[in-house]
This record gives sequence, C-alpha cells and structure tokens, in this order.
Amino acid sequence: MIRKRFPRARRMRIIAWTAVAIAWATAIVARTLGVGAADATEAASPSIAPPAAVTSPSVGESSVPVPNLPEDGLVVLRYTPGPKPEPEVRRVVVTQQAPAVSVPATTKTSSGS
Amino acid sequence: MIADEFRAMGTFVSVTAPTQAGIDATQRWFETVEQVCSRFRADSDLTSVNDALAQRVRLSPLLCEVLAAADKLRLLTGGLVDPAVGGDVIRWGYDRTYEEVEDCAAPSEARCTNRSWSIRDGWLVRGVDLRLDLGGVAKGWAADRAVETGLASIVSAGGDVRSANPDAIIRILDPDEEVVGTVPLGRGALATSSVARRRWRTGGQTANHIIDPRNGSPAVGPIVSATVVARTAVEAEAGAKAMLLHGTDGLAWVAAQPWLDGGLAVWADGSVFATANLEVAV
Repeated sequence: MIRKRFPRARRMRIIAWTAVAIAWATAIVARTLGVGAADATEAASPSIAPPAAVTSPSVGESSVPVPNLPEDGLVVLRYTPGPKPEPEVRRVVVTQQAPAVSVPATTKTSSGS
Repeated sequence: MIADEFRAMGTFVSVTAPTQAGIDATQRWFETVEQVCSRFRADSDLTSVNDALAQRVRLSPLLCEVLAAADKLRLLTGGLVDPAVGGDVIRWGYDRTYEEVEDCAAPSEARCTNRSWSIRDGWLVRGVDLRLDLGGVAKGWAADRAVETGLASIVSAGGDVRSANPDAIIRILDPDEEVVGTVPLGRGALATSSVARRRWRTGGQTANHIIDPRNGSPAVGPIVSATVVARTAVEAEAGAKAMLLHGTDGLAWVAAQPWLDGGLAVWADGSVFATANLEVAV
C-alpha cells in the first residue's frame, strides 16, 4: 500500500525523519532518567552532612545559660561565651630569686575557700 | 600596720593589725572558735552536739552564739544556707578534713528525715539524727568578732573578709587565680564562695563542698564563683553561697536583698557579671 501511494524517495525521507525523531526522544528520556538517578544517589549518600546551621551552634554561641537580669541591670565585666580554653601549662625555671612583690597591708584577696 | 597569715579552720587566715599582739590575739581567737565549731575535732563542742543522741542538747555559750547567727542567716536566705546539711556533707564523702578527703563511692545512705532545728534558752532542739556543719558560718563569724572587738583591722578567713579600715581594697580572683575585679571595700565585708574549690570524686561524679539543702546534693549551676559585699562577713558568706545556689537567678536575688550591698559572679564559661550597685574596678 505504502509503496503504491508514495514514491521511493519520499518513503526514504519518512523513514529517516522517523528514525531521527525516535533518537531525539530517546536522548531526552535518557537524560531525564540520568539526572533523577543522580539525585537519588546524592540523597542516599551518607557522606553528605546536614547543614551545620541546623544542628550546630554558631561560633561564639554559649551553651551556658545567661544570668537573669536584676531590676537595676547588670554589669558585664568580662564576656567569654563558649567553652573556656584550658589554661596553658608552662614550665618556669627560676634561676635568680626575684624581689618580693610588695602588697599593701590593706590589700587582701578573695577567691573562695 | 602589720600583716601576717596563719592556718586555721582548714584555710589560711590573713590578718592586718596595728601590732603583732593583735595578730597573735586574732590567731588565738580563731583557735578558740575552731575548738568549739569544728566537726572534725573529736573533742569540739559541735562534735559533742552532733554525737549526742538526744532531741534537746545544751549548748555552750559560744556555740549558741554562732548557731543563733546561723539561724538568722537561714531565715534571710530562705533556707538556702542551713547548717542542717551536716549529714549530707558526710554522706557525700566530706567526713574528714578536706586534705584527707578521698574519692569514694556514691552516697547510699538516705537523707536524715527531720532536718528542723531551733534554739530555745540555750538549748538546741532538733531531730535526733540531725548533724550540723558550721564550716562557712564559723569563719565569717570569727572574722567579724576579731574586727569588731578591735583585735585586727582587716581579717580574711579563706576569702571571707571583714574590714574596719577605710582604705581596704579587695582583689577578687576567679578559680584560675586571675583578678576579675577590685572592690574598694573600706569598712565592711566581702566573701567569695566557689564550687571550684574543695572538690572530690564521688561515685564517678565530681562533688563539691557547697550542699544544696533542697536536695542534699552538691551545688550544680552556671555560677562557679560568687562574691557578695555586705555589712558583716557572716552575712556576705551566706549571701555568696545563696547566690551560687540560685544559679541564673543569683545576681537578681542578691540585687533584691536589702541586707546585701552587691554581688559578682564568675560564670562557667569564664564570663564575669556584677550587680549594678557593686562598686568594682576591672
């Protein structure tokens, strides 16, 4: 039937364009499926950590509760939010006795007992 | 003025007096108070009271005076500073002088059930198994009396300071011995309580000497060191301990107390806060 209705040259063009259209559609489908598979791989990957801002305190944020304000306000003498650094330990070698530091008799210290 | 230091009540006592005789007399006075109020001396008045299996116990005059001061402080602090924690301190392992305290197992004994006590005409009325601890009160009280009676002009007993000298200046140290502020105290008193001192391990956790009467356990909170200024050392000491036990509300509580003149707190993260009425230089 086709042979009878279309000349040979036109039949060849129809076949060629059909093949091109199928190849084009296949490429699009293949690309779409490929991206989806990559997304699925990323979502399942255990090496991707959740955003730090969601679970981790930002730098400078303290986990220690702050004092409740007295009515007359509060004086901040020192503010060091965050974990306090461990004191640095240094070895001190004294080769010569230093002169004693003179502290007035009216000066005392209070650091608890 | 002469300044000297001696050891008493498990701590160092620093004294400034016009003469050496004043310093010597202050040392003898502290020895007298320790002999009455120590719970570590087998022959002290307090040990006799603690060991007596009686609901009513006759008090010596000096012990009665110290307990009367403690009773007043218990009222002022809403029960947060109460010598009735003596049994709890022992339960947690502080049953000997601090130098001899060792790491021990978690407390297993139950708290003493009747922790009420009162003084009536020189008699202590209390639950039979109640044990008293006057460690903090006795130091401040002894410092107050040494200055009030003219033996010394400034006395600092383990950080509990009482002064009759208008030029007295107190440097407040944090647990790392760094100066966090200087208070021009003049005539008055100042005390510091800290959970960073007198610590030991009990059942795998760290215990400290400040016991919360509400639960019978060592103090837990954001304040590691509390300093309070007051008229007397015994009041300042009680105020500092109560501030520490109040935690985040501590500074607000101090600011609201008419018998306290200001407070300063070293926070667990190293921050330092003070009430607005405290005169302090950094």
